[in-house]
Formats: sequence, C-alpha cells, structure tokens
Amino acid sequence: MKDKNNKEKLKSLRKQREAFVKNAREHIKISTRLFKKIKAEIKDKAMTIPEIAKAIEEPSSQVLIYVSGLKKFGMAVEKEKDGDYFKYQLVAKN
Amino acid sequence: MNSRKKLNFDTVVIGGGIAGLQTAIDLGDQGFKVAIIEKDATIGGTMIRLSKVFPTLDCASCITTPKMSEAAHHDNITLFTMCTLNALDKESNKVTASITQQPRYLDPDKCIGCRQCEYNCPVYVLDEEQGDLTLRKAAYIPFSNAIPQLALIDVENCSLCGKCAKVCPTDAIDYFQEPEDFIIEARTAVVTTGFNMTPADQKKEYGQGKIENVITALQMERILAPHGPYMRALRPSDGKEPESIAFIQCAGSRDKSLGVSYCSRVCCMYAIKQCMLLSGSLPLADLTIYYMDIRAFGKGYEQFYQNAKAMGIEFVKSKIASISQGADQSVALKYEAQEEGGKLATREHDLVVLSLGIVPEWDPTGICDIAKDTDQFIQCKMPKIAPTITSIEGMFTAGVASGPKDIVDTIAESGAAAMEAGNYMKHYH
Ligand SMILES: Cc1cc2nc3c(=O)[nH]c(=O)nc-3n(C[C@H](O)[C@H](O)[C@H](O)COP(=O)(O)OP(=O)(O)OC[C@H]3O[C@@H](n4cnc5c(N)ncnc54)[C@H](O)[C@@H]3O)c2cc1C
Ligand code: SF4
Ligand code: SF4
Repeated sequence: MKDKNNKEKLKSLRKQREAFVKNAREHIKISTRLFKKIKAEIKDKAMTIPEIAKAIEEPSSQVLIYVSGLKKFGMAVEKEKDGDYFKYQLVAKN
Repeated sequence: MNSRKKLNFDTVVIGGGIAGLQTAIDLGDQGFKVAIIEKDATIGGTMIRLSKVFPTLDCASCITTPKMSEAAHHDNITLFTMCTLNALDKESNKVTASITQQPRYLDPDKCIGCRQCEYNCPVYVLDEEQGDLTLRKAAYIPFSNAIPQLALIDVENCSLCGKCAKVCPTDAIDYFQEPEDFIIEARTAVVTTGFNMTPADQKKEYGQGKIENVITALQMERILAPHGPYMRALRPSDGKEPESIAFIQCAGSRDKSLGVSYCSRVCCMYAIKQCMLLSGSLPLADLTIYYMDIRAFGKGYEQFYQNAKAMGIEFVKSKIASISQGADQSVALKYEAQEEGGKLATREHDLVVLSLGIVPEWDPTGICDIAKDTDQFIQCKMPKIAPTITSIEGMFTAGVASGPKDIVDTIAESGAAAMEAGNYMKHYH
C-alpha cells in the first residue's frame, strides 16, 4: 500500500533533492542540540529565558524561540513570574 | 497544452482574503459558479492573521472564520489553494486563467488533518505564520483554523526521512507529487490580491532590521493574538514583559525615498488598536505613538482615537531621525519633537513596533494586461462612481488590491464588485 514512497524510490528522490535534504538535516542538527541543552536545564526546575541563555551560553532571543516551540508542541509550560520574566519548565514526560 | 485540465466557472476570483471571500459569497448566493484561486495553503488573507479589529475590537478570527467556512462549504464556490496564477487573459467574452497547482506532497482527498505528520516530523524551522517568533515543523498545517485543514510539506526543509508517511493513518503522503497545470475559463474575473508590507530592513535610519526588539505591526498582531507565539506580550530578545512600548507611524509610507508617497490609511488605527490591547494585557506599561498626524477617517474612528488618549496612551508628534540599540537590549529613538519647537530628543523603549507601508502583493506585469495606477495598485477606471471597474471589461477588483483600505471598505467594495460582475454577466452574456 505504501509502495508509492518505497525505500528505493525515496533514496533516488533524496539524491534529486540533495540540497534540500542537506538543509533539513542541518536544521535537525541545530534544533536537536539546542533542545537537548534547554531541556536539561528546565527538566527539574523552572527558569527564565535569560537564566537558561546564561546557563547554556546561547543568545537569549534564540532560547525564547526554542522555548516557545517547546511550549507550542506541548513539551514545556509557563510557570510563575520572576521580576519581569516568566519561568518555563519541561513537562514531566519529556 | 491541449491536454491540460479545463474547468468552467462564471467568475474566477484571484485571491482568497476577505475581499475575495466576500465577493465569492455574494456571487455564489446569486447562483453564479465561482472559483477562488489562492496562492497560500489557506484562505483568509491578512484578516485571519490579525488579533482583534478596530474599531469594534472584535476577535479577528471569530469574524473571519465563519466567512472562510461559508465560502468553503458553499455549493457554488470551489477553492483552489496553493495555486500560482501564470496568466489571466480576456478575449471576446471569455476570461482564461492559466494556473499551476503547487504540490502539498500529499493527497488532499485522503488527508484528514489529524496532524500526525506534524507531530512526528523531526525538522523544526521558524514559523512564518507567527512572525518567525516560534517554530513549526517541515510537515505542518499553517494554523489551527486554516481552511482547508490540510497538511503540507515544506519541501525545502524536508529531510525525506519518511516518518510522516509511516505515521499517516490514511496513506496520504506522496513525496513525488508534481506541480500540475490547469485552465479555468470564466465569464468574469475579480482581482482581490490584497497587499504586502514594505520590508522592515529598508531604511538605514531604522537600523535595517538588525536592531533587537524592533518588530513589525504584523508581528505585533501575532503577539497579541490568543494563539500567538508566546500567548502573551513579551519582547523577542529575552522574553521580558515590556514596560515601555513605542509605535512608529509612517515607517514606510508617505516617504518618496521608499517609493511609497501615499498614506497606507490603516496604520494609525491599527497602532491605536494595538496600544489599547496592550494596555489591557500590560496595564502598567507606558505606550507611546510617534506620529506625523493621526488619520482617523472612518465611522467611530475619531472616538476610538480620543478613547486611546483618555486611556493614557501618549501621542508624540514627531519625525524619527534614527533607531539604534539602547542599553539592556532596549531600543533608542532619536526624534524631532515637533510640539517642542522641533528640538532633537532621545528616548528608550523595551519594544518598538514599525507601522510599515502597504504595497500591492501582486504585480500583473507579464501575467495580465490590467492597468496599474501610479501607486502600482490596480487602477480603478472610475474611482468615484464605480471603484471596482478596471481597465479591462469584465474584470473587476476589490479590497486592498486597488489601494490601502480597512476591512469595512474592503467588504463594501467586495459587495460592489460582486454586483458589477453579476450585472455584467446578465447584460453581456
Ligand atoms: C498590522 C495590520 C493590522 C490591521 N488591522 C486592521 C483592523 O484592526 N481593522 C481593519 O479594518 N483593518 C485592519 N487592517 C487592514 C486589513 O488587513 C485589510 O483591510 C484586509 O486584510 C484587506 O483584505 P484583502 O482581501 O483586500 O487583502 P489580503 O488580506 O491581503 O488578501 C489577499 C489574498 O490574496 C492572495 N493573493 C495575492 N496575490 C495572489 C495571486 N497572484 N494569486 C493568488 N492569490 C493571491 C493572498 O495570499 C491573500 O490571501 C490591518 C492591516 C495590517 C497590516
Ligand atoms: S498525518 Fe496524514 S492525514 Fe494526518 S494531517 Fe498529516 S497528511 Fe493529513
Ligand atoms: S519526510 Fe520530511 S516532512 Fe516528513 S517527517 Fe520527514 S522531514 Fe518531516
């Protein structure tokens, strides 16, 4: 049934779309690395964006994009406020 | 060429924003068969992407979704999304639109919009539907009330890992899908191609898009929307809840150096609206609008402006000289304070919103012989007495395609375009 996307055909399509596939794999690499670092920090405690950014040594603007991505896909939640900043924590199962 | 699929309608509407939807619904209700050609993956245009609308502060999605749904379920309307218009010709009594259906990389008849492909896709990229302020996947549905509720694969960011095909419960994914050309023949056409914004990085004085916490008005619409990127108002550089937010008016309009010498008409009102919404969610924040003059032209708009002043929103009559990075990720504005003898003043804000200029989204050059005006929008042949009539008989226009306007005027004009097209079909066919 899934013959239209079979392994052999996909392999040749990957070759045909080599530049796109390379670009996508680069995105996967970057996001996996960033998510891993962020998740490790907010696994057991809630933190603000500047705190996470400082701990993982990444720009806070980038951290905010990734944390809001985690929230969007149900992996993190917003917690209490600390001064001008909200804190975020990983949802238990992640 | 002869083997291309040919479809027949009474009217082909180019653009599925609020203008296109209203025109199609009004024609459909009169019994005419209408095709809506939309380039995006969803209909709804800018309006479905707004937070609330001035001057009533109705939720934009609550009033746009029923129109989208009405068009989608109308017996006389057929939607064509993700379509590129290659040519639009009028010969004798016939309009011919030559169109390419771009691939979603899935079978739209099989997709049930379950989002399993999206949840399982490993690629995260910036979400343009949320002003690049959060992430989306390479397989995705643009947003929760997109119509049609069909996924698509962003092929340029797809690793072809095969996961989406594996998890799709209806076997809809087809990585090999190709663009398909087809032709629509109709008796009339209505051009409702709407607008785009001038680029945020256009002006040297405004930091050319390189200054943190300078965002566009459309990004602010997303920030204020209930399903926005942060679900609250935060500044993008570090998630701080902003204490001071400024709006810069005419940041791309009434500026000959940018080729936009006209007024974009809706910016004063949407900046006031955004301030009002912000004052609700951030009651302690300082809100300032830097303006040349306020244009509150519609019914109830002057009252809306006066209400904003009464709420404590500050209006500073000024000309912005420069925008630069301030201390602690703030934005420093240098401006000529026109009510203080033109003296040069400086102020810092946590967040600055640019009211960019409105420019036409579609350039007909090489696609259709329809005449453009000096402002590059579609020319109205009789702007005073019949603003929807274009240079081509049987081809009409409505909404921002013919010049900047608000939703009220867009809707009224769309009704007029439907009436003109209906009359034309009754009298000349
Ligand atoms: C920041 C902001 C806030 C605003 N807030 C308000 C408000 O509160 N109240 C109010 O009254 N107005 C507001 N407006 C104005 C409002 O957005 C417009 O009046 C309205 O969206 C115009 O609708 P339209 O259908 O003419 O154009 P659009 O919304 O631009 O729709 C055009 C459609 O045509 C499609 N299209 C374009 N070219 C092609 C092509 N070649 N082929 C196929 N499809 C094509 C587009 O993808 C789009 O879907 C605001 C505008 C901005 C920028
Ligand atoms: S998993 Fe399949 S059916 Fe579900 S949204 Fe994706 S393509 Fe459509
Ligand atoms: S094949 Fe592409 S779209 Fe599908 S899951 Fe893999 S990366 Fe995502």
